Amino acid sequence: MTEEPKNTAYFKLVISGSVNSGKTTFVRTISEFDPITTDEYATEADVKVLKGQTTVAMDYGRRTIDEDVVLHIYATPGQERFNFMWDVLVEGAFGVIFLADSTDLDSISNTKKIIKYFSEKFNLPYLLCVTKLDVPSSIEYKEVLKLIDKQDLFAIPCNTTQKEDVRTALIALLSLAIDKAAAQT
Amino acid sequence: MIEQIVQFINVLRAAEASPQRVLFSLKKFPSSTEYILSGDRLLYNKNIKLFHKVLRDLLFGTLDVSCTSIGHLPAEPILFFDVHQFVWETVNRISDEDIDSICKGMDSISVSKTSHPVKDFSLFSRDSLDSMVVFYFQLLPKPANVFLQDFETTKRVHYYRSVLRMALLDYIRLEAVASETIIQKIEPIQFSKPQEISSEPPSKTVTEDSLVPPLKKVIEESKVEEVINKQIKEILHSEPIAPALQTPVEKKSDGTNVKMSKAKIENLKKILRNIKQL
Repeated sequence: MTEEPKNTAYFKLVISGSVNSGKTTFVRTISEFDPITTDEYATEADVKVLKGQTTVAMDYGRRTIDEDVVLHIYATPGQERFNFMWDVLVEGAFGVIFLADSTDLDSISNTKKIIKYFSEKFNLPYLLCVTKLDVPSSIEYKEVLKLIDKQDLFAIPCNTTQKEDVRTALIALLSLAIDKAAAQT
Repeated sequence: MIEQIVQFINVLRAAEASPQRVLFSLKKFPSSTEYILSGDRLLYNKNIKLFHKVLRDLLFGTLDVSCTSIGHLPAEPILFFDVHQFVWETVNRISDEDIDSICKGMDSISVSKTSHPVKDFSLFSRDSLDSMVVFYFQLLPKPANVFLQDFETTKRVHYYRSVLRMALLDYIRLEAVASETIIQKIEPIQFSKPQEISSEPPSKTVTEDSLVPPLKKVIEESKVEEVINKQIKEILHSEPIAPALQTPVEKKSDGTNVKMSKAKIENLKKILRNIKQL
């Protein structure tokens, strides 16, 4: 990592969602270096079924925009018992992207809880990305939105391994954040 | 085209208040096609098969649409269709070439949210592009082509088809603009029972439109001057770039956010430009 110059404006983006919804992959796709992860072997039985290792504190990636603007990307842990980290990570963020795994109904339900938690506590621009729609066992995009049941949430389909999709998600969230800020001034 | 969309939206809104006899009339000949619309229910009649055609012709400007209240339905309808679904499917049926010609010159049209809240519609039953179009214009009005600049990979014809669908269904509002000043604004048409129809509040420009042209010109020029002066003030008084470790959005104790400074918004725009090149 290169040393950051003084007077750098820090911008924080938070990626959240249930376990195994693609948060780490999302960060990896936009970060200028391989994300710093805090993966540990999963201890909960239901998480073990989904993946051997899981994020316990956060994933971190970064993107230097120019010499004085840096975008920091944090992915939250997916398990509810780590929700104290959600508050820590969202502090000062300009927006949050939620990921919902279309192949797993429990995961969608957990993401719904996370969305509720954030939207009740923080007044930020939010975007929902429905992931893994290319997997044969996935349910339809519209079905996921019906399950999430939050009509005022900006939502798009997103394959987190595809740079183009991640780019679209970021543009959508940034547009929301800029409009929201401009509307307030 | 905007005029026809506004006419159609007014018909939909009128039907929410009371059942309406809807007439699609040819502009040049005394010929019309009639429907009964009650709420979002389009009642079956012998013209139902023509609905797709008349709506398409309306968008091409060869037809006008009007409605008159019929008070109540003659009898409980046996067969009816969801008018929103019908409209959505009609726009899907229009060929790419026709969409191109209907939407000619739409790039500079201003798109904004309507007075109807998004949650009033079953947006999730639409496709993902519709959802993006609606949410993209929810917070601030923008020229229609800005969306295509932000989401460069979206096909122009797909985008404008979605804009048409969402405008006809009253999710978004279209207004003709020139530069930064609105020069023309379509006002809702009047009905026999105007008190039952929710109409937009009259805009500031309506009174200005009634002014004599030279005076109007002075107003336009002073508006431009005002914008420039405001921009200069903003530059002179803008905050320096946030110091290290200071985050751009600070939270109040109640969870709401402190307003972002102009400098911070500019930095967000810088990030947006960078992400576009990702």
